[in-house]
Amino acid sequence: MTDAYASDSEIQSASLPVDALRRALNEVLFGQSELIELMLCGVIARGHVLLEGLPGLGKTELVKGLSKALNLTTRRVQFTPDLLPGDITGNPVLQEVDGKREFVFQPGPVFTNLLLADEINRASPKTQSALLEAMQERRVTVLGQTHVLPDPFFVLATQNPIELEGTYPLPEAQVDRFLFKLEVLRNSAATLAKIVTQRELGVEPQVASVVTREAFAQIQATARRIFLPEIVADYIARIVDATHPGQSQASQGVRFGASPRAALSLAAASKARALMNGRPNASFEDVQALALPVLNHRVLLDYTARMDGKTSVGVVRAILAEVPVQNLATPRTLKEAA
Amino acid sequence: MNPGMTDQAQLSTAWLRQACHTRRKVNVGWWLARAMPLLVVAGVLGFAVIFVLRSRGMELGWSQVWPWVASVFAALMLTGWLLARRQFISSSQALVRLESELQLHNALTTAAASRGVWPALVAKVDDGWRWRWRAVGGPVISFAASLALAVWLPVAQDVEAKGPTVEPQAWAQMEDWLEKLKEDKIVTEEEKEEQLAKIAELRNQPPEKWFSHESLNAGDTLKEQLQRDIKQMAQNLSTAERSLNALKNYADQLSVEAKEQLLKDFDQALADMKSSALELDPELLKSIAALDPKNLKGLTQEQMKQLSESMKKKAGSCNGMCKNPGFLGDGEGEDDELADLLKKNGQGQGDGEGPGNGGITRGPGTAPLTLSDEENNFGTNKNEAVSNTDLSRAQVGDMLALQNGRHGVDKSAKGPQAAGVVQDAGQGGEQVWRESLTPEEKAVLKRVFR
Repeated sequence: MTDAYASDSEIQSASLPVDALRRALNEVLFGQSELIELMLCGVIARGHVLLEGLPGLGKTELVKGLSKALNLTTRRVQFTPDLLPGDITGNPVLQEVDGKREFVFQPGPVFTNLLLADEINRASPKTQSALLEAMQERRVTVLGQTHVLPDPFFVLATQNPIELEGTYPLPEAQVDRFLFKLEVLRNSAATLAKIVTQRELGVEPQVASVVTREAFAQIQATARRIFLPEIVADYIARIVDATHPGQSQASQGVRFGASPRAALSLAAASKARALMNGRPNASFEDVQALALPVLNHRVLLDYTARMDGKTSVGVVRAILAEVPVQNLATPRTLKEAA
Repeated sequence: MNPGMTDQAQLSTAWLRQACHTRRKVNVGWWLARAMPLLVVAGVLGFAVIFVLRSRGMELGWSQVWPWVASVFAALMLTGWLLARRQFISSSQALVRLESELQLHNALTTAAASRGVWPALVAKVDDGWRWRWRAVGGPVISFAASLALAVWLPVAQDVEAKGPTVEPQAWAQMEDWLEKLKEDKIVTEEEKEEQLAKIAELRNQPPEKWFSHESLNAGDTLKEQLQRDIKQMAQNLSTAERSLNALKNYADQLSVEAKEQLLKDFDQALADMKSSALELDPELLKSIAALDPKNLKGLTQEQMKQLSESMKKKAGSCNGMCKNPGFLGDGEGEDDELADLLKKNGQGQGDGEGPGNGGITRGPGTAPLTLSDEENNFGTNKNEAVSNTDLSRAQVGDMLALQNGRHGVDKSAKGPQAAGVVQDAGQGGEQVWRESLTPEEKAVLKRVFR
């Protein structure tokens, strides 16, 4: 019988492939170790990741590298305004089978382990919505027939923050389905020099498969059984609650706060991070490290706050500063050490 | 025994001991935080109580005070503990505090839940809380200082409130008058005591009220009443004595009307003396009432003189009191009236060359204002303008305003005109754009029609 919580040996055995993955991805994308760490954390937590950054920063390269390192099937869809839902999920095609004509479902690109949705905000909301069921329930329904997606299934989407003409901002329901929204920042000069030295234009970097599909599934299962102390769960709950208007000082200007799915996502990601760091339990530090990528796209500001220059990132940071790890008051006779 | 297990047991003990230390620190902090305000309030109240007791003459030293202080202190600390109990933290909460402060990634909580191993002890275990000594020491010092001040501060003890050393002057005056009246046998002892009882009633008030408005008013009223009574008595005695003296000594010179008047005056004076509020000495009243003014010839000259002297002396005594400072008015001389009676007799019943000056109560002179130069001026012929600025209260038909005005007559030439001839181009359009358009609109129009 499997223990409810991951054992030390399981954690130790998971740390080796995770380290190998980390090394492999750092060979693909230089100078983005933090982004790689979060990306790995996301996939170990079985979450979908939305990458936002300027063109040419290596978003697509990172996703392709991840798929190769994990030895998973990968499909790439370039989202355009004329893309239709059926182009993603697949279409029923009229075929002659045994002398009779009938509709046969032709699976779309969504039937893969790792779907790279490039420039997802260029597709119409109708097409974007085609991914809703796939992302949450890992299955698609076409003409009343439900088709289960392969396991594991991730959507790694990218979007470009510039050239916003002709784009459709992702609806809140879909944004909420992404575990992380990660911002891909530009590289430093030293990193650029390394890229120029070690890369050639048009030549893809070679990435070896470092983890088998089964081993990766085991890592994901172990991450789920990481111990989440009650006090950490309480901390997550208070942070998510504080994102709602009126629940904290920092939430001034927030129109909609984070959903319960956000709390679940934060807990899952914290456990994945704890596993990646070889710890048997999630901690306050994990929550604090992951609150920003988990919550920043789930906190929606009102118009006035946006006009005042507030950002959701600033709100989440303020919430982290405001909400104590323990819901305990300090007596007046004691003070926090400077 | 497994050495690892031993290590874990030792680490567990060490960490839990640290957690207990933190827990105690926080709980004592809460206890003090709840008790300190009570201590400050108790210090202030204690100061007031001790100070008041000392100011009332109670001798209070440290030996008497400290048991009470200790008891109150203990009671306050107990109350503070009861109030703070709800905020006390547990050892597990203290453990969380330690691991969050030491960045241990919740390893202590996990180990306490038997889900992980106890981490190694750090060199310096710090729970991140420091004592705020000012918040702790301030109230204690304030409490002690308040009580010490209350015990040591020199205090002026309250002296018994004494009444004024002097009493209202009117009381002594009245007592003097009554004493004098008694000595001269004008009033009886009972009458004197009755009047003195009224004064005593005023005197029996609390001394601080002797000079209150009500007391002074009552005293003055009593004094004025007594003055009126004494004065009335003096007048009655004088009138009686004068009437008797005139009827005895000047009967031959008086007319019948004058005698009747004197008899009437005597009777009136006697009646007044009997009904006087200030009861006259019964012996004196009896001796006067026994006289028959119509038949005074029965009295010897000596008796008459003695009686007259007695009455005159008593009247003089009363009048003497009336001349004291603060007494109402002056008396009226009696010899003048007798002289008038004797004089009236000569003029009224003599040859009668002219009418007399009227009755004895009528004095000379003219009625006031009879021949006065002043005239009554009612301002009948004076006209004043009345204006009403409050139009809301104006009546129908009221004139509100007058102003000069002229009709706006068009004085331009009018008459037959030839067809096609325009005498006046008019200024309507120009007026519109000059007066009703905004500066921006004017600028636009100017640019367009330049």
